[in-house]
Amino acid sequence: MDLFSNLGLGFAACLKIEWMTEPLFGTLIPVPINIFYCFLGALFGTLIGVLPGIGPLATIAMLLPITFKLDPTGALIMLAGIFYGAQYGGSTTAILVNLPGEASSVATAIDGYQMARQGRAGAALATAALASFFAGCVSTLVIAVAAPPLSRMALLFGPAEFSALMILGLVAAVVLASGSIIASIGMVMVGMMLGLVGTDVTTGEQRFTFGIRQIHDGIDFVVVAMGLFGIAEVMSNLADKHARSADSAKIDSLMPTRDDFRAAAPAAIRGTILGTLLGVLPGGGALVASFASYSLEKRTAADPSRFGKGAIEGVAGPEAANNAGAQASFIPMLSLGIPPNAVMALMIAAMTIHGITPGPKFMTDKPVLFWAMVASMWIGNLMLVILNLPLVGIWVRLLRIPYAYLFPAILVFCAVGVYTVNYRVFDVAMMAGVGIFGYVLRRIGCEPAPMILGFLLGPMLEEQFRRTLLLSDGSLVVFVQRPLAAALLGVTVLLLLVMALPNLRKSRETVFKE
Amino acid sequence: MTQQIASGLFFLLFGAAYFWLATDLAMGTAADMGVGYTPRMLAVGSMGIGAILLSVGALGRGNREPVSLAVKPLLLTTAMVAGFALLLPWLGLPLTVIACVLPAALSGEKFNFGLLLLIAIGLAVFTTLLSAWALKLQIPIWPDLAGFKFPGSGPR
Repeated sequence: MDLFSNLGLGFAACLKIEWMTEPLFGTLIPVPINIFYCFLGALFGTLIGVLPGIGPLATIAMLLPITFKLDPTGALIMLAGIFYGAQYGGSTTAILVNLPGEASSVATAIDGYQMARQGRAGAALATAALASFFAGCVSTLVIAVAAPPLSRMALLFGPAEFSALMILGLVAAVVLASGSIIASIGMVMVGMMLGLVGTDVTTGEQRFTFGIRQIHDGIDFVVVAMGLFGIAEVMSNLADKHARSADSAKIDSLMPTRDDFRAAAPAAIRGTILGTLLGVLPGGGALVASFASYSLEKRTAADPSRFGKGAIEGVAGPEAANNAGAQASFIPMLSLGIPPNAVMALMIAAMTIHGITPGPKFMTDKPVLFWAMVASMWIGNLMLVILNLPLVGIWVRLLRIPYAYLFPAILVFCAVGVYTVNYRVFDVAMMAGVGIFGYVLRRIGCEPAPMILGFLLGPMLEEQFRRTLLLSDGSLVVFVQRPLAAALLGVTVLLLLVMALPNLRKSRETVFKE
Repeated sequence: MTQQIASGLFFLLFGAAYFWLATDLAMGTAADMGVGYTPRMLAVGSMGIGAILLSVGALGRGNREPVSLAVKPLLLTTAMVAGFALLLPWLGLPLTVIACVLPAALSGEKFNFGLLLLIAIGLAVFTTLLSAWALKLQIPIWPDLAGFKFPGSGPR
């Protein structure tokens, strides 16, 4: 089977052993270098998942400069580990102290914390870890199966199809984002406008650079990402002064009972399916998947009143869904080169720095790198179970770090990280500016997540759209004539129509309210 | 002011400013787009969004949360990050880190000054070892008082 030989290639690359000179005595010692990076990623991911107020996006951005010196395989394995590790870590604190470290763990906190208060914290933690592990394994397989045909299909894409696909991605990001839809559309546009700053690809002409040399090549993506999700986040956290005192529930036995298992297993399977489907969709991913799974479990349960009072399905479903969603969002990124969410946008930036262009040709040009990444996800998920269950006490203790010590550290890491991308203090100052921008936007009720997607896709969309209309001599009919483009735009229109329906809009609101 | 009105104003003004800045860029036609084509479209779109949000807000609907712009965290955080940019070429990494961490004392969060000082020093040592020694990044370490320059003023 092709699939197995490919996965074998990936595992072989993951298990690669490098002989390193040990500094004290100069003897050679074997180091499984990629496994080490995978572990590092999972560890960092768990750490930031546990700490509220810093997300995977800011962490990947901060660690980006560190990966410059690594070989691309190790670097990408580590960055991917941070992303799915954060989903794991977020659930631990959600269950034990009702403080979801990540937005995608909010649904877990509802029933998980109730379970902990009833003295079943261990069972809840184990269920969360096992459901996540199961979901991670399944969605890794889905990536392995679905990505190659998808990228073969993408090779047939012309500019019209790429334009249609990006429009679909942007619209889906808007529809599935929380908050006002109209404001989200506006945020996408603002992102695109900022993305156009710099030298135009086609003509070489400068746009909106005001003679500032440092932005002739455009505003750096890392600067924008760190400003919005590092600096602005710190400002909001300081302004809101979250209740941070954490009284942890006691953890007894980690083993779920047989009844627990019987209730949790089907929920985890449903959550995995839902998460994988929503993760592939542009704009979807972990956050939406976990909420969708929670409301699915509640609606299909024989006795919905148990929910909110410690129902184990309410832990297993959303946890499986957020992990599956996080991993499935790698599919459009790797095979089409189109980021379905902000973290994947950053992954694309990371790959570009290493001279790799994600997209249809990635898999055939760099098969070892691609399959090593897929294989590392499985290994990483296994490590996360080991990291999370026995070490849970350490993670909980981390929560007691007061924000007064945490936020200056975050700021310093952001500043050092951004400086080392281009070795320019200008970028650090610019990051502060973007931070102010993001903070003000948040204060007027505009979530900056759709903006970052617009920022990255804006210039790409302009180029493809321009090319499409050049070929069609300015006629938009081409989007209807080409079946694939028409189908993609059809889905886009459908999404918009669905959102306009009043009762669906209401259910979307309740989903985000819970 | 409600968030609805504020966001409407933002999109309207941002779009208008962008449109004005794009006036010198060539428009072109749909078949042969100039560099000003997309910017103008987006600017008009943003203004449209702003107008919709504003009119919904004027009817007293939409997001009725009041805007509360806490200025202190904004200023403090900006000062810490901008301070880093300003001081780095002058003081070198370790001293800059210490200088930028200490203002955290003004945040209003509960803290202990000795511990904060310890953390500042720890961060300075850690970032210096990590970037200059382990990763061998070209980051200034030692103070260079003669080389002081404002950001963007020279080839840094």
